[in-house]
Amino acid sequence: MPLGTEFYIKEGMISNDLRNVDTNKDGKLDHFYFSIWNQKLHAKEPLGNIRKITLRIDGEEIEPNRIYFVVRDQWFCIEQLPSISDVWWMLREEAQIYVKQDGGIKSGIHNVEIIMENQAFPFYSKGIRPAPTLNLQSEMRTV
Amino acid sequence: MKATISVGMWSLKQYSLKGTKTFDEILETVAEINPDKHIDLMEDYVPCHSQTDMYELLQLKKRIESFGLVINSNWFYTDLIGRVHIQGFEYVVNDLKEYVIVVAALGAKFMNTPLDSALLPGMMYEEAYGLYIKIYEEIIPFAEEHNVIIGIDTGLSEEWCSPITALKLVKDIGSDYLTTTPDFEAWRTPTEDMPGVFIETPGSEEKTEALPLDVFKECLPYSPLMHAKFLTFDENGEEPNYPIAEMMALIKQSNREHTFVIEYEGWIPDINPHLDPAVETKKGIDLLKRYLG
Repeated sequence: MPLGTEFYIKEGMISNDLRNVDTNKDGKLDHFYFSIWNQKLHAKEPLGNIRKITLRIDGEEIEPNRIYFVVRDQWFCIEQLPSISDVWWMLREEAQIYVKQDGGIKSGIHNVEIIMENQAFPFYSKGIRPAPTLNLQSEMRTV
Repeated sequence: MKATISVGMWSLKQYSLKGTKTFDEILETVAEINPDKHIDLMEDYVPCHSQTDMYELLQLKKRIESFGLVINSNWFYTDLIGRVHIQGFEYVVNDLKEYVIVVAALGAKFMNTPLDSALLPGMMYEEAYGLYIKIYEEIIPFAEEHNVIIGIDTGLSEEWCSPITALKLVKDIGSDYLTTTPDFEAWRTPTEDMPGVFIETPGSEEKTEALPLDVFKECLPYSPLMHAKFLTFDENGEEPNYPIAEMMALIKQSNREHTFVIEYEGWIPDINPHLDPAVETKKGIDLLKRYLG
């Protein structure tokens, strides 16, 4: 296992774009999303290793039940992620973070902060070990 | 003592993570820098998890061989204790058997899997050790049937995970198909610049001392494969983080054949991410060649 404190290569890990979408094709925007690439040093892993995702848009925290992790067109509400052991996120594979929001997100530049707690080794002699945390931030433009 | 040098994909993984080289370009790089033409794949590059794709696996083998490279070993990680706790003994054994099949299909000689697995809260060493013995007793006949040698990879780890435990397991099982894969990391003395903390295990006690060289010497007869972890090189091409000269002197006295898998790790964000991993990996190859003569 690698030494150090950072378990990912930060540069290029999230996109600079926010995209509004009409996922159910009813003519109304209902979600917006951005992309995230798996640049963790030990990249290939089950989604369950992602124990928690916190997302803030312009400083406001989004409720977990509105956030979806989408990989290979499979949608997972982030509250379910820790229990997923049979779907893997591959080395530098692109996934998307979707946020449910009627009307999408307002055009312009938004500050996006995503914090991902990742835990491959949950146990140790003292109990449950603290999770290494990935913290990404970007000014994203709607397109 | 006959020695072969292999390049672990870990050494060049920064290219994949940053998207600066394709897999084929990385293979081309390995073929250029390693005169021995051996390569080691880690699971990130193998079509397994959660379902192994046999067609993709055979295509991968052909693709690697088309660069004149030989697949020496594969590396897979399973937290054996945690996995047994969560999914059960049979599940874990079947998982390991699948890895053996993957290695056999790729035509590689070794399957490496780290010892790293923390004791559950309240679990005693003896219980964990007994579980490992039980797992290997199930796996070894299968590995033998498919002519795959299992290497227990151990570096500077935590709690009970060290080459000492791996060595004890190998001696107790007593099969040529279960070997130790000592990582040079176990003989590194952490410094202020490079402390003994690891990304995946925050909160653990920091390691402050390298293992005695006697342990390295004791591992040699059981270590056809070794992980030559390199972190930095000085202006003379020496690796200042390990007692390399002493380790290589012991290796030269060894009676068995060894393959050294170079795991250059200086590319990680905490060390020297700005350096070209291929150039640094080549320094590792040159260092080993220089010492091995």
